[in-house]
Amino acid sequence: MKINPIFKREIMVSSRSKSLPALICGVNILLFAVTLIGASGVVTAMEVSAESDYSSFLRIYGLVVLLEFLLLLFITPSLTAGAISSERERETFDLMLTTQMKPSEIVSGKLMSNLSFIIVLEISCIPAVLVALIYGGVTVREIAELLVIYTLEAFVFMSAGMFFSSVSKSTARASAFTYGFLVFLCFGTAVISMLLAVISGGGNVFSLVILLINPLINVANIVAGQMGETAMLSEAASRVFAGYHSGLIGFWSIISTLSQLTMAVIMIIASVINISPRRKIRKELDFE
Amino acid sequence: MILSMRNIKKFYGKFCALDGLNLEIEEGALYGFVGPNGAGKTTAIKIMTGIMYPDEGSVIIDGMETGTDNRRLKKKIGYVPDSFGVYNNLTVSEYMSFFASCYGIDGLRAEKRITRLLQYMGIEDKADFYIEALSRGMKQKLSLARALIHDPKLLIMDEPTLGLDPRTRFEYKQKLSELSELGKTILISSHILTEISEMCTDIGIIDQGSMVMSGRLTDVMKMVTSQNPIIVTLSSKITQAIKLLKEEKNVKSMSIKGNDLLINFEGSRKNEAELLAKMIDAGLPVVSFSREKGSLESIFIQLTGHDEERTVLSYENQSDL
Repeated sequence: MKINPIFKREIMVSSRSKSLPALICGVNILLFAVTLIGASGVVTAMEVSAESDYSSFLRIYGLVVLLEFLLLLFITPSLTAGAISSERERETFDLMLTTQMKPSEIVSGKLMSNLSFIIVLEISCIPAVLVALIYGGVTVREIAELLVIYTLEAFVFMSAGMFFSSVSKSTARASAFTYGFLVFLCFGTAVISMLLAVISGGGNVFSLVILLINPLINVANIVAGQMGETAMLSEAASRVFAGYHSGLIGFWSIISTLSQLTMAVIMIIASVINISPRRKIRKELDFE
Repeated sequence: MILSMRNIKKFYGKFCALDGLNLEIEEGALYGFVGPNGAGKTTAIKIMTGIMYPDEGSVIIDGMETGTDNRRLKKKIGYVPDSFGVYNNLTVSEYMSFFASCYGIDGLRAEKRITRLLQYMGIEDKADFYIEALSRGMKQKLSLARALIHDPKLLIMDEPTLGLDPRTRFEYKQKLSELSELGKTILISSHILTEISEMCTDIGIIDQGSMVMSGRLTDVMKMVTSQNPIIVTLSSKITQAIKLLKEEKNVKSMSIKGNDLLINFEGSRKNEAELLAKMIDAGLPVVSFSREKGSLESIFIQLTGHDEERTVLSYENQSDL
């Protein structure tokens, strides 16, 4: 099987780099610190009160996995925001276009290498997440499902980075636009949804639908489900949005993940189009 | 014909970078592509290499029109940009190997080819060096080796000797001449006109987005020379010579510079010979009689000299982000 040359090169270069192992170490140190401090706090509380509150371990799990997600949200765009723009800055991008590589191969090579790093990062974080298993409450399957969702969400963040990288001349600019876009997805959509709910006087379908592309709500909903808070989203929906859209809420994770993946695919296709040399369609021809 | 560009037009917004450019290169030629800053050289090169498409016109490379089968077409072109275009965090052999795989050349075949090319460029001892440790000259040699990795028929080079020391430049020129002898067609864009006149077999002068002169370098030089004045050096009898020359219908004007007479003469080589014979028959002491030699610089300035030099101020091919 022919390996994508860009994937091969990126993996080779990143395996030599000190920054990626340092990043993996940093993330793990942070997650373990939160886990251990939390666990020792719970144990100390047990010693003082002589009561066993095992649900506290579940809360630590929730905190750690949400922290991991926020770290992914912060790290992932920095990997892809320079994917194309850094090649432009190095003046190697034109060279790649003169080779037999297709623009789609350039984009997929970059995405695959960054995704593989994220998968390595997620696997390295598993021990910190598994602490909840010691006292039960979360199954291995649930943790595996969450990791799959994280990988898919990371793919969404990457595709945003790739898109802004393909339209920007500088990596700094691409990073700024990517972070701005992700902040909009995570918080802006929530604000818009609330505003729509207020304006329409109790919410409408659109104010709920816009939240489908919100990765933070999707992950929070899944984690809450794993922690036994199954009614979190439906309660919130019935409180904020006067109408209760049971169909939507019942399949929220699936619909939200698919919506975000669709958005990611569109951004990747747009990235490929952006970097492809193309003929200008002259306006006068359109009217002839 | 290995490369044919017909009526190429390219606009950056309202700015017309190429205005009906026509360019033809014969197989095996070493073609010098010259023009002032902002003339459209780099845009033309980007169109030839497939990095950019023209707004109008067609580009045919080795019988194939660009945009039809780009994968096959790109196999025919090797490109050396004006910047090095290197990845500093790769070693020389890894860099070559990466570009080999971009052309589908892998494994032992790639290894053999890389070794041979590095040897040819004289940088085989640097195979395990990181590119950032290489000198400018070495990087440029590596860039040429990279462009040859897939054995292209046409080599397109944008200012390849820019910033090189005289020795490296000489070596580089030798390599290009060797490659030309090996049958490669080479297009070199350069500002160094002496270099072009030393190396190239053909030349094209571009100005304001269109070709103002092109052809065999020897023919261009002959044409330039034939437009220059005849310089006649006399040891004495200048007044008598002027009197004789005034009666000649081919002599349009003349000027005196010491013992030299600069004659603006319109006529064939035969007419020139007849004039010389007349002067000798008239007993004039002619020490020398020759056309002032033409230089590429003189024709370049003559053809591209205009009051208002256009410069591409900004190139916004991508979005405004």
